[in-house]
Amino acid sequence: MAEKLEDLNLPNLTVQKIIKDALPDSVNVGKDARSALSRAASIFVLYITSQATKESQKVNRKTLSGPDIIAALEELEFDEFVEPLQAMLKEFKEAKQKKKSRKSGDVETEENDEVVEEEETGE
Amino acid sequence: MSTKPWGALPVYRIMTIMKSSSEAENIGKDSSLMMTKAAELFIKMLSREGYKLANGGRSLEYKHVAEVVQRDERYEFLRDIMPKKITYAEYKKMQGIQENRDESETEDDDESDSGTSSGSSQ
Repeated sequence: MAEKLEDLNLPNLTVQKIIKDALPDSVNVGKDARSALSRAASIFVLYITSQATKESQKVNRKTLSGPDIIAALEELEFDEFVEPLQAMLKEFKEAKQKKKSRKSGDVETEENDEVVEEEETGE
Repeated sequence: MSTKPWGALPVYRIMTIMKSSSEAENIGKDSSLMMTKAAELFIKMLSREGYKLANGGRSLEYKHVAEVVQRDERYEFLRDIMPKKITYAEYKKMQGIQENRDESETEDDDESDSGTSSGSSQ
């Protein structure tokens, strides 16, 4: 839980960099624009999380999962984020799988790993 | 810029924000990483959309971002924190309109030096 209100703020410098990265090089970013965008991003996280929680409750899950975030983004019409996030999720899964098959060595087959993986993400 | 797949924002901070608005017992690691990325994509999208309203100007200002939020339905959740700012001249004009509803006279004395184009000169 956040103890202070500042805990819900994002770091100014990072936000500034992200904004600059999205705009042509010569464009200045007003301080009030930056702080508004930063606050907007915090509220966005609250907004999406709240919807994602509803998604997880639909199936009685107690852990918020990656697919819940995607479902929430779709529900709230931020469809353009879905594709890059899905790609990221896939990357994570593959990385996890590699790690696991390395750990389990010769005992388990790749196929078994895949099943375990799916159970985990469906939690 | 950061080369991490979830971008430059701090995951732990995003996780804190998520915890404050979720009744879920656990926030899965994947979901916090994805939300971190989503927040970055969100800032970029809103910045670009705001800058479109700057008409190729040299800076992105609060009013551009606020305008996007007012125009697009899916940003409705931000309207309370991002009210549209108006200039004092515009405010006076609004007051004038309210007070002199029946009179055809327009007030443009105060607008000449404010830098806002109200379109009602002369």
